[in-house]
Amino acid sequence: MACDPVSNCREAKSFETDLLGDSLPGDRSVNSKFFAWIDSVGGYLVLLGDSLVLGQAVPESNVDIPVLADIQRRHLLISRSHGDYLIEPFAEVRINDQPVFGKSLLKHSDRITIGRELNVVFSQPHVLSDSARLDIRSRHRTRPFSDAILLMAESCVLGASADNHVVCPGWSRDVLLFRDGPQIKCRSMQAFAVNGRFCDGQAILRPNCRVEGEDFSLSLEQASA
Amino acid sequence: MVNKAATLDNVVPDHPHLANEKLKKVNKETLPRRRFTYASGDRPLAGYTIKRGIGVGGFGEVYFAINDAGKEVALKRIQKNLDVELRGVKHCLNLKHVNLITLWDIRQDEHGEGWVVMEYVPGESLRDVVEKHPAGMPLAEVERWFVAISRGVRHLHQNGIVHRDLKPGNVFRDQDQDIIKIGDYGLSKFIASNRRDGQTESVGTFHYMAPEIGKGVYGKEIDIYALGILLCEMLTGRVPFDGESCQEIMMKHLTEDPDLSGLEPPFRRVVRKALAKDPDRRYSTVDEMLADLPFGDQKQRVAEADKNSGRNDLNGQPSVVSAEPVGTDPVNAEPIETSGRVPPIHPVMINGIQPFYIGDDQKEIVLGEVREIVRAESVHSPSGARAPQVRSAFRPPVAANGQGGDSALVDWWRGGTLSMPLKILLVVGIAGFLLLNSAWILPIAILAGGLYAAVYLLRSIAGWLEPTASRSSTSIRLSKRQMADIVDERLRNTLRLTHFSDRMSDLTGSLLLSTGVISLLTVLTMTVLGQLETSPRGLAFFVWLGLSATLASSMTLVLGKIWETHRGDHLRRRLSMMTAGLMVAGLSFMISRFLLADMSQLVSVDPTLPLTRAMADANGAPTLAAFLTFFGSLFLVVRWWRQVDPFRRTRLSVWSAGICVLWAAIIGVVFQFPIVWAAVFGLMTSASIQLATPWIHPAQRLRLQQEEAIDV
Repeated sequence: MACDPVSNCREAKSFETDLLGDSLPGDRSVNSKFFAWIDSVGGYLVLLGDSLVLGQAVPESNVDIPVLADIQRRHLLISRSHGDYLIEPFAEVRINDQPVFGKSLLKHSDRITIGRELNVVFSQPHVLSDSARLDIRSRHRTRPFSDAILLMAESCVLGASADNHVVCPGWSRDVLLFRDGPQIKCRSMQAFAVNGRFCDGQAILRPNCRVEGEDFSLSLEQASA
Repeated sequence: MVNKAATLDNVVPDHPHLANEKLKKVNKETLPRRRFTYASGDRPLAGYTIKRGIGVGGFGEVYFAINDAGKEVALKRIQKNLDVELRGVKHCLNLKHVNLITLWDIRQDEHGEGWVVMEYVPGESLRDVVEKHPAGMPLAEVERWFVAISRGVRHLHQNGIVHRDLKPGNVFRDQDQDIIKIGDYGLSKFIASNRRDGQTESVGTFHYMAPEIGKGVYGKEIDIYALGILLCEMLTGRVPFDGESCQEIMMKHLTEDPDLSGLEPPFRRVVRKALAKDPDRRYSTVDEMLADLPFGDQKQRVAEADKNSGRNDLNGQPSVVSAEPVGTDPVNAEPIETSGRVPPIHPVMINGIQPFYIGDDQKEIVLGEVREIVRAESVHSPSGARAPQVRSAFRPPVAANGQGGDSALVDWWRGGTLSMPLKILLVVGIAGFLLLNSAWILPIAILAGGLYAAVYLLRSIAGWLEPTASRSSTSIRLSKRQMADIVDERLRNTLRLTHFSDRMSDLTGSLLLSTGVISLLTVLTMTVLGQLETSPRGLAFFVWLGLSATLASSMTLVLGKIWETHRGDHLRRRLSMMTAGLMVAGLSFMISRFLLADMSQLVSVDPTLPLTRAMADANGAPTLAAFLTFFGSLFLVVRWWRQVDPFRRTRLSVWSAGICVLWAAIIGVVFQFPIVWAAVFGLMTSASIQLATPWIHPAQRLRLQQEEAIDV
């Protein structure tokens, strides 16, 4: 899978300003994030930042990953560094039933138990991409609801095959979301339209845009803190 | 507003759906499939913001949406048959059961479109789970899913509702509560619809459709059938009836026995019973089916349920959900199986209440070329009649007889109050009366025949035109003829497997029997019509008549025996029959000369006509040419082999015999062959071959089919 090389981390901030515009909240700890609503597939919370805080979803919370669960308001930090993901617990966290106290490395398909009940599985499904995915396996949910959380590094692959970041049954071609400098772009072998404009292979995605192809459609929605 | 979007070029529109509208206009052809009318952020229904499309079903689109207060819901957009659909949903609006997706509200937007607001169930569907286990799900999982589905269905049935569209895509595992829920009930299905873009429903639906649905019967047995298919699919990873097209799948539902070799014996038995073609032979309730399954400690569960029957379904769900202990280990929690949740199990369906047919008024069901009006019995019906009456919408009274069909006359013959000998006497008496008075009846009959032919022709033309019109608009294309063909093919296959010597002995028996019948009929004719003819030449005439009929029937019997294993090409058969007819004519002519029969009986109608000169000799007796033309045409025109087919509709079809008599008379008129004797000849031949050939009773046909399947 050919992906554009990473034009990493800090540049994401410019997408953030693009995405959030003037309504950018004062709290700079909130990294840029958006929802990918993929028709017939699911809704995904996509996070672009390199360090992300997971905590309890309470009205005044401004963590990156708010979860409705019996956990601390700021429970842990996940950070990405050179393709590796490190977890830093602020409260009770176990990985594969082993308690962790300091920074530890996350591996593909690690089961993270946060607090007593919240169960999250960490995975890096695509071998050529550093992006990771968090799936809540216990009866908890993010707020707003999402089917999974995507920690997007340089790219996310959506498509029918099982090793994609989002498995989309029935899609004839993969759809690639990737960063190009400050922008998020979309690429696919099949013709598609962004907000009604046909694109030949590649297009820039803006906040709140609609992408439609022959056998797929999805919307990006900026997520408020 | 909408048009504004069309002028936007590089500018990003304020509202994504505006651009979406534009896209729809620009490229309707190339982006047809799986499109949702509304995109994320749209608010077609006040108070709700669409987030994403979940799926498109036969009824319309389903969206995940969030209301202004933050409540997550699923919104179902009802696009067609608004009133019928919404009535069905309204009926289910207050149903409460753990294993049913809760319906919250029915709303109409400002454009008059109907929306059903219901519980959003996050989590995988049974279809996802089945796909994950291509060789079958683990038994414990199957039990978990199946027991939960059964309970949901049972609750529907207990409330007089038939789900009608049970399939893996309609069953979900709620990941928040770890509870299995059935969705999509209360919507009337199977009504052919012309959906946008000519989109057809996914073939998947057809895998779960009971055979009687084609007839417009929607009893709760169709849910039992679907449960059987589901069970089989969960255990083996595949559905019992699969095919390339929906027609093929429907055919298999109708005719084929399921291949259950992959199932363990207890399951095989249950699935086989649930998939019985005859709805009455299936389990009559979900509980009966559950009780037969080797699932866990079923008996104990039933006992527990009885103990807890005080807490019934009505308050079951809310209390259960709220009573969910906060600290349960989600992995080990057994939410469905806890005893407090188990609704009481009634061994029998609630007394007296028949399943309710949603939209219990007249509605049109279009299945391919068959157009029928279905009037379902209402829920108040005191009678036990479960199957809705199916009536044909348009059938000219005569055409109803079709090809030896199901007319009132035939019904009387099959099941009237008179005994069979009396009936035969009556028929012979009427025939005698008709023959004696043929002078004035025949012209009228011929006129009526001509009229009928005209009506039939018109109807056939209408029949050819109609399906092509409806074909484009229906998703289920299934003609009765196609179904019949498949059934027929299977039955004939059983004949092909019969040993040759058995079939030969059958034929010999038929030949002897037909000779006997003809002898009897000849004597009868002689008594009625011959005015006790005593002269030797007069007697010889009747011997000639009997021998000719015997020859004709023997020819038919032999050819019919050869042809019975295949349906064959009509034209070729007609030509072969004509050849046989010419042989009969030649032999018959020789016999008449040899016997010196008094052929003056066969005085022509009008000796002055030009044709008569070739057809009759100086004495008025028919020439060889007359014999050849008469027998040849009679054998060409009538499809005699159908009367000796062991799979004909009835043993003795009065209708077929009547057709033979009519044709014989018409040909007699045309070729100046004496009408009365022509008609008698036709009647004798037809009656004798029908009585002499074996006939397989419909019930036996069914058994034949089943036996064949078991042998395999």
